Amino acid sequence: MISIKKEDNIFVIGCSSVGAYIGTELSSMGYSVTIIDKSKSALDMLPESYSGFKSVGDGTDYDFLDREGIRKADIVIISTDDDNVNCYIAQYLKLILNIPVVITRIYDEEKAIILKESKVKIIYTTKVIAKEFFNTLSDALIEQEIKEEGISKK
Amino acid sequence: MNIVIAGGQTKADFLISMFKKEKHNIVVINDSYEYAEYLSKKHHIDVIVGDATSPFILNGASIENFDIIIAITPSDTDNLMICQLGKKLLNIHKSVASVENPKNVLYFNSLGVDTALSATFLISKYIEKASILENVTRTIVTEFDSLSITTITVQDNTYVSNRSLSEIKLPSGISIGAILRNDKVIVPNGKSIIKPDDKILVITSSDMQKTAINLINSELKE
Repeated sequence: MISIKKEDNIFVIGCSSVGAYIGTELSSMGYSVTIIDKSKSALDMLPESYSGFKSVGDGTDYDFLDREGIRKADIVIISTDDDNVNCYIAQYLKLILNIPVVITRIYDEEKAIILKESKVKIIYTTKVIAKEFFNTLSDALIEQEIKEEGISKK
Repeated sequence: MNIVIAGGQTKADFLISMFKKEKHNIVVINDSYEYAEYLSKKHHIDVIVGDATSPFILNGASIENFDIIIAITPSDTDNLMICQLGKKLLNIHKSVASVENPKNVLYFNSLGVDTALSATFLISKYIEKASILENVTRTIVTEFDSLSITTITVQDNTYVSNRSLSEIKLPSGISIGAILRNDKVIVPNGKSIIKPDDKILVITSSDMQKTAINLINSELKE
């Protein structure tokens, strides 16, 4: 696994539960993190252990992103709960500003077709959760089987 | 032509009337049930009720290989998604979006939207054009904020009229790129003489634009 450099400048756009979690983890690992959300109350929900920057503003507003120093970002994680907003911001950051690493989450897998040649990294929220469900389910079934075998042996 | 109209209320209403008159084949998608009903009754057409940014809705609309998709929702992010899905998912030939943020006119173009229209952008263009009549200058809009290209119609008895470029001695940072005279383009050298009614193309850094315009329009002191 390639590790993040200590001096890397990380932005998280969208303080959803996922965004908040990633931002807090990265900041506790000692990285420089800025979390952006248009709602102040979302940022207020961040745990006290979060020691990075917080900024209230619209992630689709180019001037706001500029003022926040987005052009100097090395890594941007986009995690609002709206696919269209995520794709819009991701394309701006990757194709117009040429930010080295842009990662976005997407619910509707079919929408990802528009990011195909863009080098934006995509996390398919629905797919990831479904995969986890199947893993958990198969673990549970194996457990059940072992139990039943144990019973039948008795 | 086969045209999809996605989103929008009054804008959609108007476009439907216009395209029906021209006998185009139109498919309308609108996410408001009430408005879809209104459009359907008024124009005697079927309206698909749903979110036009959803591939599920688009795939079910039978609009593959259409000629144009027009995205007129109030949201720029939605309009970009509609246009890009139209092109990449449904192979629609041309896409048109209305945008709120004037900066998206250039940005959307570079992301494959054929035409992005912003009322604010058009108003500012209109005002620039109107100013031709007053100041005989016009700024050519480029995507580079730091560069400005201005056309100026040369007036009589001004600093540049009836003088050669080497006589004029422009300050550094201001350059005359071309002279347009009677529909002919002259790429000037030091000997070229600028005449009244010439249109000259002035290239400057943005912070020098005002200085350049003032200098060129200033009266020649004998």
